[in-house]
Amino acid sequence: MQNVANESALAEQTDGARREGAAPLRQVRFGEAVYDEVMHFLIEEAHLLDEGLFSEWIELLAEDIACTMPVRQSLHRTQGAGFHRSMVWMHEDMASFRFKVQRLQSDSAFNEDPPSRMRRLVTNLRLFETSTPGEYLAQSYLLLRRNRGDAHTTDTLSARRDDILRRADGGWKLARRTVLMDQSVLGMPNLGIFL
Amino acid sequence: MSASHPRETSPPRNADRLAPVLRDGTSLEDLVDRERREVALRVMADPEIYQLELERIWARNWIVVGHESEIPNPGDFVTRKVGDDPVILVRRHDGEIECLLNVCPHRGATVCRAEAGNNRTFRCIYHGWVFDLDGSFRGAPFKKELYGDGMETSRVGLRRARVGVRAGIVFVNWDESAPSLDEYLEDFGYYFDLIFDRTRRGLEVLGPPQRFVIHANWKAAAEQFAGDGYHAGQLHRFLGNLLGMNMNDARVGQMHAPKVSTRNGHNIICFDMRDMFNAFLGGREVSAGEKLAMLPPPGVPRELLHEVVERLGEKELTLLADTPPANGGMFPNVGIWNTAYNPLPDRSPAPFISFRTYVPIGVDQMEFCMWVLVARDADEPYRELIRRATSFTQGAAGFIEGDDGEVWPAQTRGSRGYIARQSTMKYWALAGDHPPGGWPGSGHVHLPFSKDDSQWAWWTRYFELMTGKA
Repeated sequence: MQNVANESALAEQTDGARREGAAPLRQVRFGEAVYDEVMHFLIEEAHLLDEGLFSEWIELLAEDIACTMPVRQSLHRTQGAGFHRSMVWMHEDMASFRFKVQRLQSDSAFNEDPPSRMRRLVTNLRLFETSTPGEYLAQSYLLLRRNRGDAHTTDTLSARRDDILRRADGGWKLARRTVLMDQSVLGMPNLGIFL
Repeated sequence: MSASHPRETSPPRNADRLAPVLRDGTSLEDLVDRERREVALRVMADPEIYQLELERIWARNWIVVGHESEIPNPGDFVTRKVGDDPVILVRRHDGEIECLLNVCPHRGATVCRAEAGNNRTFRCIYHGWVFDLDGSFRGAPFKKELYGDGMETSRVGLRRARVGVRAGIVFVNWDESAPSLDEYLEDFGYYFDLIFDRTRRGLEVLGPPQRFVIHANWKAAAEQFAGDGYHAGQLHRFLGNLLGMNMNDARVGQMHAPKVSTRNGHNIICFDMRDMFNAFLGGREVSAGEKLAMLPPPGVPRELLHEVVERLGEKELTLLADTPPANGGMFPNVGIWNTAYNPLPDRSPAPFISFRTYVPIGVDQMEFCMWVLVARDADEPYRELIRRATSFTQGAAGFIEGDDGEVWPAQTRGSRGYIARQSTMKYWALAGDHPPGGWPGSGHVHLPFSKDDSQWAWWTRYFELMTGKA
């Protein structure tokens, strides 16, 4: 799991020229074929999650998937973005994802049954080649709207996701995901959903 | 424990002067039926009661606001809430921890607007008044031109609460005349120390707390953590799949394990590990130390276990091994988890030790705030295990606690209507005080933990305070 932090460090390299001496990753531009493929993958993934097709969604994950979501604090500008990788909202691997899917498909997942109705908009993809052939760093924006029960209000979660996508078997697998949420206080009663 | 002296007098003890009668003529005393052991649902949804709680609960009791490891260096601060009052928790230059009301005495704006950081002083952005780390007034722009020489600077410091630290956990109290923190914890202190004070250098936080908002009255969470063992077999029944257990079996459902309650409304459920050890060891007798070596207390990596064995007596080691204090809470709004026994997906033990507070945001919302702990000397792989184990089961994404966040709003919603609030919550199932033979700890011991004794003790304390009888 250590490499989750490393991949995030990799992601931070793309945030500008702040880290002197680090070789910039080559950016895949909008309109290139690979960009289309990755955007297609992210749109299909959002579809599976919003429609509750969890068994199909699991198939998109690499066996060594690592997904984390650090907590953050609202700090003064000079103190940085406020993420703390030592403390997390979630910290998933294939075994925990499989377990949680199994739970969602049981009759005892009370916080998601009746299920939330969700629309996740995945946009603003910034794509980079990594030093590992066949692996790409995909930064995207996530805007998730979640409605439950008969509530007339809708919970919102916005985040940047830093993913590592890997070419596999003619398609793509999600190998790493770091969710960088905009809120320091989550406006939902649970994260019984996948981000 | 650090002594601290508020600059202004504590709020008047209105409890003695105001009759505890609500606007519609209902006495607070009428909301609890001591004979039948029932509590009116109205207490979960009444804004008038919420306003009384701000005074009688939040301004009078020792309230947990954090852990000292969050602010290790002079000038380090975090911002928190006590009831609905914003506060700054800050480490002074002399190393003591100060709790300051985060409200400028000039015009009332919050002075500190970051959630954490390191400051030499606090400066209000509105007119620029400046305060030292101990809250005292340092200066104001054009002070002489505006106020001349007669400014009463002693009246314009940031108001200070009393601060008490035990095993690193920081409690604060606005009430100057309240008993000390140790007196407040009374018999619960024994179990508190067994959970939070086991290794030589103690525990620290993994990082800042998870904070999330739940549309529920704070008491929904608080009275559940006051020892509701009963709900686990139903609400958390998916846990049985992971444990390979039939949650409908009363013995498997831990319904035979003891629970401790204390007079001030604190409680702890002690999981019974003896069946598991017997099954694993084939009935072979081994020492408490050997059992702990097989399954170390959460937060304590194996290489530090010798410190636990050296620091605790034989009776305490036996308690930790056979019936570890695992799940409970402190009055009014702290939940505690201390368990090594809920497994990861591969069924390996998942140690987690955490405390959480339910901070009110009005009568029908609260903020759930969860700190995760680990021994200061633990290495990174062990921290990784704690991180994984905690987030898998606890907090917002935890598959166990996530369901609690579903039922607390349901209870709050259910309490709101005119007809519904005439209903009551029932605490009929009492076990009485019957400690098992040789029980080393203090407090009232109830068997089994699924009964209502400790939750009734919580409500008894709540109504003592609310009706001014405490």
